Amino acid sequence: MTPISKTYPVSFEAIEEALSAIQSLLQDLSSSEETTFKMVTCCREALNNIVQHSGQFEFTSKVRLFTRSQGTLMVIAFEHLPTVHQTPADSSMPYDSLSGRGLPIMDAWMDRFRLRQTAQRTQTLLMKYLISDEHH
Amino acid sequence: MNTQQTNTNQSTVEVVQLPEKLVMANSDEAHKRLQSLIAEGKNRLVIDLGSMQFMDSSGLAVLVGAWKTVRNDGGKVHLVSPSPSIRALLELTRLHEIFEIFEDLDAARADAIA
Repeated sequence: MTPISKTYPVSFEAIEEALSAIQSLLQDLSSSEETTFKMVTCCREALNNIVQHSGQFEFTSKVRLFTRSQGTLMVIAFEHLPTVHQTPADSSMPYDSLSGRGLPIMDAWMDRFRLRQTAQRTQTLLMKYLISDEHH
Repeated sequence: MNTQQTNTNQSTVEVVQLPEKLVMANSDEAHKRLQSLIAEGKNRLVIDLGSMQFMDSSGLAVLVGAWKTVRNDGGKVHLVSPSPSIRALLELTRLHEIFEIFEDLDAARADAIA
């Protein structure tokens, strides 16, 4: 599949637009309600981090689908110029903290989650096998 | 965010309806509203999640913030009617260990008064 790629400004409105596109794609693929919720929630956490911590003005969303023996694998990458403010790398689950839950949520609900920073870009990679309602 | 009061001789319980989405874009407003209610002395809150479809970690922080504010003066924050997805998020983040979660609004209200 050709990647679906789109660049957005870093804003709350753009988060909603990017998530709406991903949610529509998941619905077209008959993703189960649970899988859709987990995917959209993790994408939202990744995009929240960009708004809060990137210090950049735009980001690119890249969505790819792969057919594997286990099912359809959705791979979403959010990329932007290098992060100005370092995001916390702690993926432990705080009990009563007011912050720090985003990374653990992505870590727990994705089949693979990776936050990669290079001199050229910062990339959040989210991967999950889609489970359809028929298999639920 | 709508609110509704239940009064008894000793206590006032505030039922708070949260929006369909509680996310970073509107969490500050919800936080201020809850903290304002608590500052008015309404420290027994029943938060109705029945119409909520999405919540992120910013929304979770709103709930935890309310709990942290009321816990030292005998207040309570109960959650009602989360969808299976919202409940899964609460359990993943271990917030079901902090909050009592009810399926029924009347039961939550009665427990909050007690």
